[in-house]
This record gives sequence, C-alpha cells and structure tokens, in this order.
Amino acid sequence: MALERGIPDFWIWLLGNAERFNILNPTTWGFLLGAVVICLLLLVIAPFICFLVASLQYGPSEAFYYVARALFSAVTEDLPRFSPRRTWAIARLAIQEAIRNRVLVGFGVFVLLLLFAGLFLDVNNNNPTRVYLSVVLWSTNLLVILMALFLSAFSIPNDIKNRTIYTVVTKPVRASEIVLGRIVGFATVGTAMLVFMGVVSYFFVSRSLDHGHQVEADTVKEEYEKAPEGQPAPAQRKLLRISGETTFDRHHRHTFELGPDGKGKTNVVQGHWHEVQRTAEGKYIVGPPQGHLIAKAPHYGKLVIYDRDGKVTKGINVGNEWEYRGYIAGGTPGVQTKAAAVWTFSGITPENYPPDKYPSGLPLELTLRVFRSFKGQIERGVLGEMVIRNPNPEARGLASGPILFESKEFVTDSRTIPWKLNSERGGEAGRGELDLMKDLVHEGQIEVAIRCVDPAQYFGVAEPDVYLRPGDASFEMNFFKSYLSIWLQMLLVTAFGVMFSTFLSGPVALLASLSAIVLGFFGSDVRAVTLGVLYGGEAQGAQYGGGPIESFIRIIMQNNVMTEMEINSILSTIIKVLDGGLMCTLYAATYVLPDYTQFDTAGFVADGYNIFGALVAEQLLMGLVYFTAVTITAYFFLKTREVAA
Amino acid sequence: MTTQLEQPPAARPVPSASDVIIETRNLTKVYRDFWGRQKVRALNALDLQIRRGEIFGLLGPNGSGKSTTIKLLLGLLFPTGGQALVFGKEATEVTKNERIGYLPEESYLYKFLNAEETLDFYGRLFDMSAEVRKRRTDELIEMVGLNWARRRQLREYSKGMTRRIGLAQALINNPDLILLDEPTSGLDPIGTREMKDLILKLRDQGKTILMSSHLLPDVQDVCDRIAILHQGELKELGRVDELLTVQDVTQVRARGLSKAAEEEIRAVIARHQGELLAVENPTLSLEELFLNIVRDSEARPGRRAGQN
Repeated sequence: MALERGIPDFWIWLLGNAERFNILNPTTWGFLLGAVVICLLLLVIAPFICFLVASLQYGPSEAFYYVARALFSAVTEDLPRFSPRRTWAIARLAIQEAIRNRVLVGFGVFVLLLLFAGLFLDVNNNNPTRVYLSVVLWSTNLLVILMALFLSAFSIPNDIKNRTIYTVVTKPVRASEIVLGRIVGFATVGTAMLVFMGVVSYFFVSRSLDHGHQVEADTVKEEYEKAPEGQPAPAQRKLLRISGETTFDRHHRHTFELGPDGKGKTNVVQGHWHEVQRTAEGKYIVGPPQGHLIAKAPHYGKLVIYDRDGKVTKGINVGNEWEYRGYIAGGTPGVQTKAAAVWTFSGITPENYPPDKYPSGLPLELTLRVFRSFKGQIERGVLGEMVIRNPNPEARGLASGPILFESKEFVTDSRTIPWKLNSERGGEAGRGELDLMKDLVHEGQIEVAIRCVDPAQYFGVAEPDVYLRPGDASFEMNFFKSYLSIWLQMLLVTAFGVMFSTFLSGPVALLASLSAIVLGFFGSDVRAVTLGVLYGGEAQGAQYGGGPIESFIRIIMQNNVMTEMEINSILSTIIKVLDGGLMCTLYAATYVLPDYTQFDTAGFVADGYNIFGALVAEQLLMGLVYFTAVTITAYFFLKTREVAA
Repeated sequence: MTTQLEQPPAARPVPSASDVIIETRNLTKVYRDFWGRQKVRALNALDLQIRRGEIFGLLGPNGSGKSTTIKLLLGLLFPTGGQALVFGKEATEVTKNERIGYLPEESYLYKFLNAEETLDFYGRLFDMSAEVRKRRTDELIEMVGLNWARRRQLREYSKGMTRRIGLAQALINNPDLILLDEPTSGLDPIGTREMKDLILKLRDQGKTILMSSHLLPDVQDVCDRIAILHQGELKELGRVDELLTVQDVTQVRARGLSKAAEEEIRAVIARHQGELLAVENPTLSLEELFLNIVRDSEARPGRRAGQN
C-alpha cells in the first residue's frame, strides 16, 4: 500500500482541525489561515520593509511617498491597463527563446532514458507495473522541474545582462505583464513538454508491459465428471474443468483454469492476469495482460484502535513507524484480547451496493502490516480474525462469526464478505444466519473489527489499510491527475524562479529557487531541526552543537558538541543570538514555502490507487494561492527596481 | 534609406518655446556600490528643457552622463535627487512610453528573432492590432532598407543592419518624442548620412528628438540646440549657431581690391557706407568649441553653464 499518509479531508486541510488548533503552532492551522497570514505579510510587512530600505537612501518622507506611489499606481495604473496582448507577446517571446535556445534537449534526454530503460529496469520484479510507472513519473517530474528551474531563473537576469530589457520596458509594458508573460511562456513550454512526455510515457508503459503467452500443451489437464461407482464410463462424459500452465515469457508463467464453456482466467502473477479461451478446434488463445494498469477507488472507513483492555488508543508503537500507523497485539493463549482495530464504513446501502452488481457480497481488501515478536512459522502468515458488526450500541452483540484470515506483510488480501453470514445469534434471515444488509447495517454504517489471533504477534493498522472496493476509477484519468500535480509543481517552480530572477542574478536566482524547493520539500524535517536547535537540550529531537555559526566554530576549534564553547561569553552569546535568528527565519520559511510533498502522487499511480479528489482539490488551491502570491511579489520587485544597473 | 516621407521645408513647424516636452529639475544620479557607498556621481543637478519639434543634442566625452540622462528620462534608472518629467509626467511612469521611441546605444534586441518578428513583437507591446502591426512592420522595414534581410535572424546582422532595425523598432508606435543614444555609432559614412537625413525628416514631421553623441560633426549637422556635459555637469547649453559664433569678432572678406581701395573701404566702413562682400563673425567648428569647454572645465572644475 502506497498511501503512507492519512486520508485527506479537504475541509480539515483548509480550515484546520478545531480540536487541535493552537495559534502558536502553525502546523495545526488550516491552509486558509496560513494563506491569509502570508498575504498579510505580503501586503503589510513587505511595503514596510521597502519603506525602511528606501528611507535609508531618501529619508522617511520621500520614502513614504515612493512606497505609497508604487502601491497606488499598482491599483490605479497597472491593474486597469493590464493588457493580455502584451502579456501574450512576452509569453510568446519566452517560448521562442526557450525553443531556439534548444531547451527541448530535456525532452531528448527523456526519450533517450526511455529507450534504454529496459537495460536498467528490474524486469524480474514481481510488480513490473509499479517499476515502470515510477520510473516514468519520477523522471518526468525531475526533468520538467529542472527545465522550469533553469528557464525561469535565468530569464530576466539574461534580459538585464544583454540589456534587451531596455527596449522592452521603454514600451508601455507593465512589470506585471513582464512577470506574468514570462511565467505563462515558460509554463506553456513546460506544459507542451509534459504533454509529450505523458503521451510517450503512457505508450512506453503500456507497450512495455504488453506481452502474450502460449499454453504449454503438456500441462493441460482435462477433468471429467466421474461415472458413478461400479458403472462403466459413458461415451460422452461431461467436461468439468480444464487447467494448465502457460509458457514462460517475460520472466513469469501463469496457471489457468477454464470452465466447461472453455473460458477462464489465469492466476495473477506480476500484478496481472490473462483471459484464456479454448476454441472449437481445441486451440488455446491467451489474451493480453489485464488488471495491471488500474486505479482502485477505495471506499474508506474511519478507524478506531482499542488496546487489550478495550480502551481507545493510538496503537502500540513498535519502532520507527509513521505517526499515523498503530499496532495491535495478538492475544495470550486462552485469554480473549480486546485489542482490535475497528473500521466503520458509512454509505452501505442497497443503492450503493446493489446485490445484483455484487452478487457474492461486499468486496473488501486489506493490506495489514505484520510485526513478529518471534519468528514462528515464517512460511505462514500471521493469523487474524475479522468480525462484521452492527455499530448500533443497542444491537449489542449483533455480529458475524469470526472470519479467519492469514496476513502477510505487503500482500493485499482481496476478499468478499458474503451477504449471508454465519452467526451464533440468529437474525432476520433465521437462526444461525445473519443478513448483512438487514442485520448488520445500521443507518448505512457497518463495522469491521480486526483482531490478531496469533499470540505475541502484531498487526500494523492505519485507516487506509482496510477498505471496500466497489469499483475502479479510470487508470488514464489517474495518470492525468498525476501529471496535473507535476504540472502544478512546474508552475510553482517557474513562478518562484521568475520571482527570484527579478532581483537576483541568474545563478543566484537558480540557487535561491532550488533552496526554496528543497526547503519546501523537506519542510517538516527542517522544522524539526530548527526547533531542536532553538530549544536545545530540553526538546525532543534536540540538536547539539548549536546552529550553523556555532557548529562551524566548533568544527574549526575542534570543540565537543556537549561542552560550552571555548570562547568568551559575550561573543558566544552574540553567536547564539545570530544562530537563533537564522533558525527562526528558516522555521518561518518552512511554513511560507509550498509543501511539495503534497504534490507527490507518483506512488498512487504506480501502486494502482486512485488519487483522492480531496488531494487534487488541495493541490489546485495551493497552486492557485502560491502562484498568485508569488506573481504579485515578483511584480513589486520588478516594479521597484532599476532595470539599468 | 528612401525619401518617401519627405515634406517641403515650409511645412516645418517652428520650435515653440511654450511646449516643453522634457524637463529636468536639479536631476542628480549617484551610483552606489553594494554597501550603499557613493561610487560615482554620474549626473549632478541637471536642469534642461526640451521643447516640441526641436532636435536636441547631448554632447560629452565618454562617461560624461549622457546615457545616464537618457536612462533617467526613460525611467530605466531612478533619480537620486531632483525630477525628470517627460510630457509633464514623472519619467518612471509607464504611460509616457506610449508616445516615446527609444534607440539604445547598441541595439539591444532579441538575436533569435528576425526583423519581422522583432517589429511584430514590439508592436504587440503597444497593444497594436494585427493589421496595424503588419502595416507598420512593412513600412518601417522598407524605410530602413532591410527588405532583403527581413527574414534573417538578428544574430546574422551586421552592426549597421542592427542599428537600422533598432531604429525601426523605435519608430514602431509613430512616437512624438524620440530618444536616440549614439544614433550614428557603427554606421558607415553613407549610413551616417542617411541616419542624419532621417532625423531631420522626423523633425520636419513635428517630432521632438533628443540625441546623444560624441561624434561632433553629426551633432553640428542636425541639432538645433545642444547641451554639453562633462563629468556629470552641464557645461554649455544653447542654439548650435549661437554657440559656434564668436560674438565679439567681425570678419570682412572681399576680393580684387587694391591697397588704396582697401584703405578706402576701411574708411567707408568707418563711415558705414560702401559695398561689403562679407562681414561676419568667424565660426568655430564644434570640435574647437567642445575641446575648449573640456579644457576649460578641467582647468576650472565646478563652472556651470551660464556662469562665466
């Protein structure tokens, strides 16, 4: 299961979780509050800093006049006179520049990479689909971001260096049009490249994974109806089933089973299966691979974990695990443990799950983590039991009998919960049998409780680990959504690059945008480090040896990180204050910069999960807010600088 | 360059004293280094008025502040002190650019575009419609004589050709005010002549032209008024013909006179009678004037125009 984060909820993401909210800890803020704060910073603090800088040169009254005029003319002049045609002219120029400066080499690199992909990809992997999809998505992402970075960071500095900007800004062009035009131009180049790469990737993946098998004639076994004992076999025996093996192609072979009508499927190997058909002439036709390019659209439930005393808990921590995954312990022999993971699924109605569409029952998939405290029988999975319960507290005890299962780490177990369940207590359907819809569903809700049965073994559970799988979404659509997130990243990188290039020289702007990406990507790690430095020894995850300046001095002077610095105390205090300032800035920056991990969706596609609609919505909103804020900032930077230096 | 735009000299509007196009008041520019320390005072308290319909020349040796003045007037630089007004607006305002054409020192154009694309691009920046852009592009390429090279990328252009396309882009919007930074640099004598003719022709169409140059003959030929800058200071300002006239000297030239006749003429002149062939003030060449000013300025730093 790829999903190593909680199931996103758009409104909680946007507005924040009211219970955890703490004004001093921006991690608990929703995106909306964060965005408002960033905009306030932009609108109030940025002009104030401009004012301070300008007053050094011109004195306060002149400086106030400058800043006020810049702000005033932004609204009265630049906004109403904004011209799409001029913006598009600049954008076109950026596109022509990119093309004629042979930026499309990046695309060539990509095609070359795919041509030789066969040489380095692990074709023997038991999930080649994931390997192929990860490779194309990651390489696309990397190349497009690098291209956006280089194009955008060098654009305006090059214009200033070649002084071509003289002939542009002496035309009635607004700074806003230059900034936006540049961004739009580079984004267009990036979009075109992304579209090409996407199409090439899609065909590369589907062509590479496409293969066929033959049937090994020697292995085919036909099974006929046995004649009743003591009677001679009739001339025309009834064919029950055919089984056999396919040829060994592409590092794998399948076994298959056909029904009496001569149609059937192979087993699933390397994440796919084939249709097999026997023709009237007795030949076998093996169809193309199926089931590997999918986008599962799970129906998730809410998870509550109970400890062995039946209390709600976060689960047992067995070591280096993600915060959101907890473990439940298996029972002690002879003692019924209360430790269980209970998922509550809503929306279980006959309309959503009509029995004629799901004739055998509710489709359920589980991929539990397994933690063994002793080796046990390593060939066998860890045993668990699943109980389907009615969530209504008044219908206490209305539950199915335990359904036993074996869980192996990383293996997805697909099963069907039948509509009629065995139970000690009877229900509507009569004694000893429960009707799932009538007896166990309460107001559209149903509970699935999972226990670990093997003593002293553990199951790791997280909310997305168990889900109903009513149907699949379109793989192509999912692939497109993944490209949309790459596109949004590209757009943000371009906007940041252009913003930095409005006041920095090319290489410095490149470095700055790269730092912004790295800081955005590793925001939470960096934040932990800064807090560790700021709070020193007391905090969890404390960083010893101080901030950058202090640790540099310690390295030079070969000081132990645990002892006091061997310099005079005033100097040491000054260094600590400077370091503290740097750490605070870094800490603030991790919140201001976009969190690029939010845009990482390659795992979803590679593992065959549909990208959440909520995640797409979050990405779009984040993209829009950052794009707007960065563009406006870039506009003010360009407007208030002298282009002739 | 063809001469299709020529108009009879009679149509030439007289420079009017009231119509001030460019005005600088106490305009000062100090370049600072990264730490805010003063590096160089490129322009010091410049007061200028340029009126509608005149050709104004900014003259000075390299590094005298000519380009700085033009960049300040275009809003490419922000003044350290004083004001630069173009069409009565602050030079940093973008709207003034609607009526301005600018030919930079070297034509800073996008080398990967060809002539047509270049003019089309700058036309778009003036928000011109497609037909207008097409018409202007054709007219201007014809005017600067680059029809034969209109589809070649500018990176293949010679310096003279780049100059011409640079001029064409400066005129794309049919501007009222044209700022030419070193318009004749890099041009051969024929190109120089054509450029000067064109400048005069533009003036005859009623446009105001501000040009900077250190090539004195060019300035002498075309400019109505000049300002001489040296080390950021305005040293001389006035009409070219007045500046070049030595006011306190009269020159009389005649032919075929005997000694006696000469004597007599002296007498006649003394009595304000007789036929004079020529009585005039000797003129300096601009070169002499320029060198005088530079020499004088170096000898007596701090002297400004109008204080003798």
